[in-house]
Amino acid sequence: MIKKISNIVIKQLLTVSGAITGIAILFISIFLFKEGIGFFNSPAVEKGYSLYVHASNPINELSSKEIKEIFDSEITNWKTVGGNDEAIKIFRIDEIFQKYSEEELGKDYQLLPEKLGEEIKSDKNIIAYIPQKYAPTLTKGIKVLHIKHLTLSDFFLGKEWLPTATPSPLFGVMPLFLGTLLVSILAIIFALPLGLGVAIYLSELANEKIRKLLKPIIELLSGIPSVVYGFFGLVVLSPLVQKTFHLSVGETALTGSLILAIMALPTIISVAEDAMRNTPRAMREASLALGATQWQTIYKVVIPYAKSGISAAVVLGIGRAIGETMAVLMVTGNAAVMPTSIFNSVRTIPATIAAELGEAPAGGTHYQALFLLGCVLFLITMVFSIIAEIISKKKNY
Amino acid sequence: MIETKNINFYYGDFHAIKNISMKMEPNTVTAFIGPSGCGKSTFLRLFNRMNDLINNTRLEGECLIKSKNIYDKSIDVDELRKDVGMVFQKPNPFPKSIFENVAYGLKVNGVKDKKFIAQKVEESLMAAALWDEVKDKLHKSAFELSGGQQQRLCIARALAVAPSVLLMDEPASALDPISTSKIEELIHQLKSNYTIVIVTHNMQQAARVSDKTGFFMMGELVEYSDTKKMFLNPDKETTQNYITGRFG
Ligand SMILES: Nc1ncnc2c1ncn2[C@@H]1O[C@H](COP(=O)(O)OP(=O)(O)OP(=O)(O)O)[C@@H](O)[C@H]1O
Ligand SMILES: [Mg+2]
Repeated sequence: MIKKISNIVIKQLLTVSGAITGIAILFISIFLFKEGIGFFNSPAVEKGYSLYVHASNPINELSSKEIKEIFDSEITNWKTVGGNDEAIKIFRIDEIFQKYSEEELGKDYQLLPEKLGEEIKSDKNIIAYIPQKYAPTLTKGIKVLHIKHLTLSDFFLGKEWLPTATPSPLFGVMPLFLGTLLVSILAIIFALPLGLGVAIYLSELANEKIRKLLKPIIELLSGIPSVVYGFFGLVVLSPLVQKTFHLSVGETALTGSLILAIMALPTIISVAEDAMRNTPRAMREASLALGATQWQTIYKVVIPYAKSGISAAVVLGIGRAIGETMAVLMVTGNAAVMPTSIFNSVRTIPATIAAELGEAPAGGTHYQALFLLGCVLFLITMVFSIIAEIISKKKNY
Repeated sequence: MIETKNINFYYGDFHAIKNISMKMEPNTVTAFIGPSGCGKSTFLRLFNRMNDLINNTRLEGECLIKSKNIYDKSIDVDELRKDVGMVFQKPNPFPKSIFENVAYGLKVNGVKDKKFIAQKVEESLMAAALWDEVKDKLHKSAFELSGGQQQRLCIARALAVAPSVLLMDEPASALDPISTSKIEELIHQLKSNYTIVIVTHNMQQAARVSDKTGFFMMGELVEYSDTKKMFLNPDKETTQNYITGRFG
């Protein structure tokens, strides 16, 4: 009777814990995507600000990239954005304070909107960037410039990540995406052959004593917090890379991927080694008894047999590489620019999220952009897992 | 064909094979019988140096196959194992297709000629009396076969590399009576081309398939003679007791 009840209780507990985990994961994903999708409904200028032009200006709408380039003086003629052939005149609110004294603007800047309005009306080529709080009274001569919503291509194909630029920040994920891929793929290229090599050595060649010594050490290594690895990278690896390749800075994509490779190695080794050791003795004996050499036995029997375990090792390794934040933040130099070589500074998606989430106001465009980055990261890891799954399932008798 | 001279074998301190000398003639079937743990498998695995894989073991004495000491330093173990095939107690096909299982031994020995491999695979499967059952599904997984078929596949796999000796460690103990009799029939047929050593727990099987029988106990070879004599009129009383089922 007691046994029956305890059986039921245990079963229920397991079901409940399974359900809770499932719901939690679902909730997190939904939250992530919900916040991220909001990005595409956000205007591309800083919250609380608007852009104004002269009413006679044929331009009604601009994209965030155009706005950014105008204010960076990269676009200087209205013609470039489809308007008249006239030079653009940029007006920032500070300029009003040079023109008028505090008294003229009145107590609590009461008269400021009016003065701003006059300013805009007076120049038909003006573009003014003004807080909505002091919005000029909309008379005949003034119109608010409509700003296009951020689009999928702005985000996914944008080559510039300038989330705090004013008036119009840019959220092009390309440099971060490529930075992440570059660092991760490089890390895997370093870590995978080495990790599998060590795993093969440990499981097939090393004698009992060496394995008993090495295995716990390797497993211990995978438990070291990533800041420690980052610190090591900063102090040891980065100067080393700088000296070896005669660079001006040592914080590069290469440094990041080296440190990631070092971090992913223990996981890859330990999981792959377990998988290979699980190959039944009967399989090895069958192979050897047919005159196969030890090496032939390893790559024709042991490795295929351990394939799904090995690909689990790879997925875990890649997962660590792609998702790793702290160490990469410390050694890659954090430049959100399109990577052109492995000796460039780069910035990865997780590092960006970690570095910027603190300063991005909750609910703002920047904040939503970071969530969208989270979604991208989520999808990248998922794609990797699916690929690994397909490889491990392939032709497994 | 096979000759052992004063063989002693130790697992660490444990003395598993005690001073065994015996001779096996070409194209005969020799059966090893004896109670569980008496060292039959250990002794059998000495002939293809399978015990080399186990750490902390020690061997004394000589084991000659075709008049060469197989434990001599000049012996290439992989070559030896090509010539001395082995079939294990539990069927252990590779997680590959039926064809690949049989072709494995050829491929690891450097045979590249696809036609030759295909022909050898067919011959071996025929020799193992499996061809008719699998000829239409050579590229299916070996795991789709029944236990008895898998064991015959393992025999075919061993035959494909053309050994001269075939070691079988209780090859039928995991099989049903019909599969068992198929294997026994097979052993009969293979005898003309191979020297076979078979370990078995089944007295009738030993009596049916073997020319000579060795009775082992506690690591010693108690008696070794013609199978007929062994089962009708053994020299030792312990043998008599074991065969008639009074112990073991
Ligand atoms: N790897 C090993 N390490 C240590 N001792 C072993 C090992 N393998 C076998 N032995 C011991 O050696 C003795 C002989 O074992 P073996 O497997 O040769 O017996 P067997 O006659 O084949 O028995 P069975 O009929 O049950 O298969 C047993 O006492 C066993 O405990
Ligand atoms: Mg045995």
